[in-house]
Amino acid sequence: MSELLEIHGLHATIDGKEILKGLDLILPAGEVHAIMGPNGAGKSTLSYLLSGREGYTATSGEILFKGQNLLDMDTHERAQAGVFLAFQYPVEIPGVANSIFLKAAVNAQRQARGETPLDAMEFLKRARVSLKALDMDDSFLTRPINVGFSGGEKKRNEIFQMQMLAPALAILDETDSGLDIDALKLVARGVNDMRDAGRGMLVITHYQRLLDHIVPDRIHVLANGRIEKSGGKELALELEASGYGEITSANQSVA
Amino acid sequence: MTTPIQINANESKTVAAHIAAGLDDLVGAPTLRSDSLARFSASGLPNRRVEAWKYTQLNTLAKTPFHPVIHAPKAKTIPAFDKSFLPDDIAALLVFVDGHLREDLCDLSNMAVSGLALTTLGAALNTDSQKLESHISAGAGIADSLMDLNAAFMTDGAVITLGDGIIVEKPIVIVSHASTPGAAVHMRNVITLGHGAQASIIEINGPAIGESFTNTVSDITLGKNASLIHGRIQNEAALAIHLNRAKVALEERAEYSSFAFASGAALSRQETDVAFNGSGGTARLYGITLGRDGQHIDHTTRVHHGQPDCATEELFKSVLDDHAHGVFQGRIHVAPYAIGTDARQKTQTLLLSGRAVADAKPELEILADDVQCAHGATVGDLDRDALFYMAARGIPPKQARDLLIAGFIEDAIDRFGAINANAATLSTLLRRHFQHWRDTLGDKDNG
Repeated sequence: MSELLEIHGLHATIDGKEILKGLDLILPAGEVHAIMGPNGAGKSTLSYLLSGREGYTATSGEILFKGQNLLDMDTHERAQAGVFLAFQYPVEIPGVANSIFLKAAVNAQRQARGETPLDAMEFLKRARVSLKALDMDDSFLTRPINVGFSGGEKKRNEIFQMQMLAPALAILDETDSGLDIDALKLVARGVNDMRDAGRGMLVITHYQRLLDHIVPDRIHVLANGRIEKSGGKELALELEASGYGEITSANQSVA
Repeated sequence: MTTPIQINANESKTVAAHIAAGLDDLVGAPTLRSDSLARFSASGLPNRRVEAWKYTQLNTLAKTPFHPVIHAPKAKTIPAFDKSFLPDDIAALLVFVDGHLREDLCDLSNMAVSGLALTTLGAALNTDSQKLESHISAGAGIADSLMDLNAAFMTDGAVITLGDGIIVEKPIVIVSHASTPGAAVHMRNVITLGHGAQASIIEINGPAIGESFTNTVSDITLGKNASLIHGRIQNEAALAIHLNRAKVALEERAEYSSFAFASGAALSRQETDVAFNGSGGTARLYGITLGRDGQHIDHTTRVHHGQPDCATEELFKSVLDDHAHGVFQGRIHVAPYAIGTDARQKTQTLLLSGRAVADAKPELEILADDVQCAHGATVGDLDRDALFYMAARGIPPKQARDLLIAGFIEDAIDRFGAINANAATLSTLLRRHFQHWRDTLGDKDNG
């Protein structure tokens, strides 16, 4: 029986430059893992490889999601299978109302699972529950996607979408960046509400700060294109004290 | 009556057909007609050597003879006109077929506004053509020669006059169909708003039958503080040639807000000429082009800032698929004494096919200091980041593209709708016409 997410020996390039150099990671269902690491270590590359962004190519290794080979699937198929990426920089799309976008997404996913689409009333009912929990008012639904949203609003919008789509695997890419402490707490609460025995989450972050609010089951340090160190939640404090330098240089001396 | 003929009619079958028809059977304004024809004869149809017509050629008019429809055609059925193509609530509906009023298709039952005089050009030409003539603007040279052709052969149109302070809350709708293949339809609308008057006028050029040539001109005069919402919706049949020109004069603090929608016809050109004759006026010129197959769709605007403190806001968006050709020409002239001018022009084009072509020609001529003028033109494909964002939420590529195209157009319709209640009503109607275009696009893809 395979775990929710298994990454084996992943090598990946962007524009011919190798960014990931043999990355291994296991995320069992029901757990939250944090991925930390210095700038340029390949954290965002990993999130884009998981979601299937154009231009990010896996040269060897595999990514198994519920036993399926994720790299063989298109981006929208991965999302329909239950992979969700909360963007570091959510995209602004003028002219398309949040509700139209999200309803299309929810129903595309329901359709792919053979479920009946939600009608407008049912969608609105569910949306309001999430909006309220995230301290967002109904106007978020009619506003064009992320246009004119503050940094905090954009990140809350990502979490709102995650709640509506209820993915099996959620990847949160630097969800804490640009948030003040109140917004951070709201977002963290939104994420914690989603913790579930059937769901796995990968929380990508620079700082230990977010992990005070979203307490991970395990922490992995991504440096030099692979997971250099893994440990329990106490690893975050260690890193906060010593920085990434030790891990990065330790590896280089071995190489 | 002698018709002065100086040009070589052999150059253009349509011109030859008009000259052969002559002016003798046309009612009213004989001098205006013959003077206009004389000017037209002197200049002829615009060709590619005329700067204003560089990107839009009228070769079809030369090759195919389009005949003026001088007498009202015997009543016949017109293409079924979907009621959803009209606003829900209207003050008046005027329907013209081949450039002649069809009383049986009009609806004037809701017209209970005193101070609103609504008549037709046909009637005005019969009764008081001299008064009318003062409102008919003449062309100046070859770039305008189609206005002269119109003035020579105009048959009918709406004559709408609002007295000072009169407010008409619901739209007045002018529908024009061409129903005879080979018809040249010369509609002339004369719209005059008194001081502080407000109205919304929507022209709809509905599906024509076969090949036709429509050449509509509207002369619009807005008094002090008057406000007009002017919609022009063009979804003519695939073989139609559609030319439409609005010539607008604004007095002090008047506001003219125009939306030109083009989704039909083989060749379409909607022109808007605005002249500020008083200070503090506002012109908002919006338009969308929805082009596919081999359609050629042109939006041309000219704004003359001849007075201080006037504002122009232009937003034109085009979606071009297949080997469609879109043209935008936007001229803004700011006279030396027009200080405090605020002019902004933006045109954006989405090319959905590698064979589609977009020409954008902004022309800003600024002769005054202390003005704000800005223009921007972008041409591109759908935003890859936006497509990825949608895919990452599970939306399949075709649906994502459709949502993004809709959003691109919706943005313009939305902004226009925010102007006032009349604009919002027009926006609702534009959305329906846009939806219709999207639906037929789906038919094409499936078929």
